[in-house]
Amino acid sequence: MDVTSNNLASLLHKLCVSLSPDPDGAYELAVSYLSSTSEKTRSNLDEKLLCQKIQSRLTNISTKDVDKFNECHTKLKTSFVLKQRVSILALLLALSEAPPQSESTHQLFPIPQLASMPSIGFSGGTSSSSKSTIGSVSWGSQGAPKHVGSNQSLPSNKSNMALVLQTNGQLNDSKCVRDAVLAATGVKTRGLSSESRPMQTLYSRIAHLGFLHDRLKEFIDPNSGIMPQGLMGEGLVSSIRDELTEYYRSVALLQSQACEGDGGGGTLRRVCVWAQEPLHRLTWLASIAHTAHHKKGGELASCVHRFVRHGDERVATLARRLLTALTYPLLLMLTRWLLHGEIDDPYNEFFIESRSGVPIDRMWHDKYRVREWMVPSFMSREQAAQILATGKSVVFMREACADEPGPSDHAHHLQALLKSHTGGSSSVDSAGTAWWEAEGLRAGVAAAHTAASQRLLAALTTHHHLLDHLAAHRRYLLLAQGDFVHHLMTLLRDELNKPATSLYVHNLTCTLEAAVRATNAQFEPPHVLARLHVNLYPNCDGRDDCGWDVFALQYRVDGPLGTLFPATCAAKYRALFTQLWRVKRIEYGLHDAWREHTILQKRLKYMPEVWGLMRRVSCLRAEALRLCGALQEASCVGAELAWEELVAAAAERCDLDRLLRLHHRALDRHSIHAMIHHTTQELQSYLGNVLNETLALRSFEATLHNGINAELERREGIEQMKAERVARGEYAFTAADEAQDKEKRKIFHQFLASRKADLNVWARTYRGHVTTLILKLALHTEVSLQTLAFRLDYSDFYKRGDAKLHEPLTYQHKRLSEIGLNLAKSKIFDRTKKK
Amino acid sequence: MPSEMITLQLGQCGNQIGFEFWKQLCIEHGISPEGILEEFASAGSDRKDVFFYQADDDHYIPRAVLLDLEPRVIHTIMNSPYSKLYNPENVYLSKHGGGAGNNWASGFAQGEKLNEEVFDIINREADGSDNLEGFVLCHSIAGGTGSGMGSYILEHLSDRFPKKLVQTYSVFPNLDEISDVVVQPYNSLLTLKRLTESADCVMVLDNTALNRIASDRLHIQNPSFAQINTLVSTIMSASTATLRYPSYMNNDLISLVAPLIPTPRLHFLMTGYTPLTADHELNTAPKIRKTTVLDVMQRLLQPKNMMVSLSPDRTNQHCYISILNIIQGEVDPSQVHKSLQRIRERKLASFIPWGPASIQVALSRRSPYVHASHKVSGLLLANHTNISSLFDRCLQQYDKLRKREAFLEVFRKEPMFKESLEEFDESRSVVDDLVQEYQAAATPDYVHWNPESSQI
Repeated sequence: MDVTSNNLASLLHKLCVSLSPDPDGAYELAVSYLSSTSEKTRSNLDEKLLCQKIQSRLTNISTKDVDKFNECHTKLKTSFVLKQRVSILALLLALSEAPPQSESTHQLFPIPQLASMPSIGFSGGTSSSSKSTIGSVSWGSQGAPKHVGSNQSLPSNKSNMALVLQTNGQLNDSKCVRDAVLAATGVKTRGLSSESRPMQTLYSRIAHLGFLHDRLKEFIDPNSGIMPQGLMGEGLVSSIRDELTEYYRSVALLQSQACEGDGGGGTLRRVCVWAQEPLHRLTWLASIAHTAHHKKGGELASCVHRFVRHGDERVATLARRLLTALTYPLLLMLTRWLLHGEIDDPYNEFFIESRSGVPIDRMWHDKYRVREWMVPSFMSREQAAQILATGKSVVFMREACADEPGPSDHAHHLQALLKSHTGGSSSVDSAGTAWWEAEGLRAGVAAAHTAASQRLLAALTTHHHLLDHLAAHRRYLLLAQGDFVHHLMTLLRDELNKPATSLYVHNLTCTLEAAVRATNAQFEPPHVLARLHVNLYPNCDGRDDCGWDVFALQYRVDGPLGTLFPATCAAKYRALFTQLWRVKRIEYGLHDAWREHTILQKRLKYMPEVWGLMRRVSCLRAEALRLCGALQEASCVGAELAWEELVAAAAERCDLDRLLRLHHRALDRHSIHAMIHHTTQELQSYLGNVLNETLALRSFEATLHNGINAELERREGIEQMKAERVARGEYAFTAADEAQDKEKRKIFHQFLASRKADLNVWARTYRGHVTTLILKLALHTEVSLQTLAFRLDYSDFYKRGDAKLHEPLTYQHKRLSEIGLNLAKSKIFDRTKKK
Repeated sequence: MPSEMITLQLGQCGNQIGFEFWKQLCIEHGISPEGILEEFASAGSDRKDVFFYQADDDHYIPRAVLLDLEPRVIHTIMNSPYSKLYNPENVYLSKHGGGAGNNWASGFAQGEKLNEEVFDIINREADGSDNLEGFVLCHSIAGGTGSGMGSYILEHLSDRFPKKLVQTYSVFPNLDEISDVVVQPYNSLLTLKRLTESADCVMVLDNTALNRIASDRLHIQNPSFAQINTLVSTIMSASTATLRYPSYMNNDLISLVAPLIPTPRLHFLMTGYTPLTADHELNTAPKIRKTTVLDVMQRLLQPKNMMVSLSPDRTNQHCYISILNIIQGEVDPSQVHKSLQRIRERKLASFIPWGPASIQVALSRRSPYVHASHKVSGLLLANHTNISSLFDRCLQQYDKLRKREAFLEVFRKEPMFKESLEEFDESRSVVDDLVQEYQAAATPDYVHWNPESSQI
């Protein structure tokens, strides 16, 4: 850890200011000591010299301490933890030589102030000094502060204690106080069996501090196994360590005061009064530490954050300080993620996780996700989602859109938020609010999210023509470009009547291009037309498919837009296309039949025997046609609102997640109305029956028209023959001819009769299927499908024809019966109430 | 461009309504009177090619053939700002220029005489289109040229273009006032026969109703031809809106009319339009009227908004065979369903008993270049059995004249009627059959109805 020399100097200066009455002198002294020991050649010698000095100094006070120092010093030498050993020793010596150590604390320890001292003293007066201690110590590593702390305060305090013991006559009481103070730092002392009960109570209360102290030490001890993991865990540990150091300081002060002052300076009761505040503090620290066992990252933050909301302001302040310290790494990660879309998270502490091996087109969907349990509780789920989306947009812009990673506009929303906290050395800003509780956080994250998603959408709509592609999907795959679809069908009709095996994509592609050229599709921009393709999807079940069954249009989307139109979407579009195309094709066939019939009709003036049958066919055809129309109306109008919403959202540049959701919904609405949604599987098969029957009608009509046409031609032929014969002066019509004609007419009439029978059978089957479909539609939970049922039987025709459709199952009745049910329920409820 | 329509304008009335129609289309598509696309108009949203084609110099030219036997109306057109719009080769004026003298037979005979020249023009026009959908014929059935020559062309269009649809906008005479054309009932009857037998879809525009609408709804005391014709052009442009602004459905003529016409002979459609505004009304007192989908759909079912005046249905048996509403404007699709429900609850429309029927609703875009004074406007296309009453009235008037053998000599002058007046009797029987069929369509057993048995 490199602290700049400037920083070091200022810290040192601060230290001196707080410890010595002559700060400048002490500072110079310290600097000279520190700089002189940097010369390595002299270091060994110096160390010896220093040790001697210290020893001689200590012998003035107590020989025990000399031994203790030697012991500590050898430990220090062997541990290699402290590299700047010499300089520290020198510093300590220098500081111990500075006489007025007691002066600085003296003012803090008049007895009446004892009770209120720690709460103010800790956070106010001594905070700067504690900070500086940490600063100076931190160039050592973990074990150091303990060592230094004990080196500095404990031995000297002990020596003070010894003094007190000697001077004060009340040996027993003082011993008790000493024991209590020692116990407060976790040093094991023998129990006070000889003392009176109240004393024991007081003693045990103080000794409880020791217990808590041990708990905390265990918590911050890496060997104990319960120290929290990761960077944020370390943050917590270090700030608990701060608190402990602070505590040591306080104990040291106590010790020096309680044992030095005369006139009742150090009674057990006083110590106990003093202990109230540290006890409170350590209790809560220990309890925070307890909940933090084995936790890391956001989870850790959440469990500390619980204490921030504690009613006791002291606890809240404590927890806030801890939380600010421990979330500092989180802030760094967050900043990096929000601004650069990078995750630097060696301990898996961040609440956003990146998964490897995700292909680029699934990047948005699968690559990153929120670790729910790692979201700190000061952050809402929405915020986490926004943060995820913001970072994702940054990554998406870079990876998928290959956008220049220039200054993104969402950054400035974050700057105010992040800079104030990351920049300064103090993690609590001037207003006293930490970044995680700053009011700007929510708004800033939201604004950054909006800005980032707008930037992304702007890139998608301008460079990648998102709106065009959305519209194109709708126009070509969902058949909204009616003129194009109609023309394509006209051009493809003959080709698609062939078996599927004889179709070739390249032939169909030419037809597609012709259809594009001839219709308004030609005005589409080239990037749209380039993606429109023909594809054949043979069924796997080995049926003899005709071209209609396998043909499909395809719209290929790649690049960043692949995210919005992933493979699952493409499959949905294909299913929708197949269904809509099928209905359209059937309608087209019926139109053809209508046209053939009107043409034929003009020739039927002299063939009254077919009028009845033709009228019947054409009425049934009208029935089927109406159904096709209603189906299409429903399927195009049904999803209209969802589409409008989607397009509006895209135009407004909402975030990508919202677009994905809306797109998904629009497709769902479409699927429901086309009855291919997973909730409409039953309907799908009924609809399939109806459509199959309609196709059967079409082929029936083709047969009928062919038969009638043949008969018409035969009769015209006879008339022509008659005319020719008359012209030649022959008999116009011989008996043989007449017999033959009669025979032919008979065959024709038989043909008509059997067609009529066929038609009756067909009509019965068809109406049966339609009735079932209407019934099922009316019973479906989807309201728009119920309305379709209503529209299919608008004039109650099917209802009149079928008892099943009568009252109980119609839409209105269903609603009424639901109301009735509710009424009955409420009545029963009332009755039970009365009872 | 597929699904093109060729418009044939015949006679004084036909050319007048045609003129108004093209004026309206030009405005809606952003085409200047000279045929040049205005700067504000953009390609891609509408299909101009259904009714126009683009000449080499990018001028939009109507697929229209203007035919008349007398020069007056066509001269007016050729002196208007729109004179350069039309292809001059498609304007045919009889050299003889005397008109048909309001005589069907004369018109028919002249049609026969000029048939080569006329069909040359039509053939050429048809060749110029990729995939011709059909013809639109504008004419009146009462005069001479429109009815007589129109009849001739109708008969032969289906011979020459058997696979093309023929749609007509036929103006029926005003039966409320005594016409100056005394032979009007004869003309009407003879034309009706052709409309029944040779046309595929007839949009009935009844002068009686048009005048009534102009005076009652638009408060014009003495409506001029131009004002009446504006009404007609509104109807024509609205009924072709789905062809010109493609969307999911009804993008070609056949898909528009096939669901409306269940059997080939029942192809006479009534129209209705709301809300109607006249020009002078816009300037003086712009009435703020509520136009919701429900309002529009309800008003469309009211007889007073219908462009056909039907005799009151005394037996109360008549019913709708089919209805198509073309709704234009800002429409929330969910409103459509609510309106349909309301209409059914109030039983505002009764339907045929022999098959399913409903109000189809086509939502269509509006021209972005025309300022619409109303949020929603609607056109109704309906096949109603009571239209037989209109034909019945024609028959009655014909019978009145025929009984007295009045004015027959003008017909006898023409070769067709020299020998006999059989044509009249035949026509009468055809129209009578039509009336019978429409009446039968109101009964439950229409499907098994046999015209022969009813005649006996």
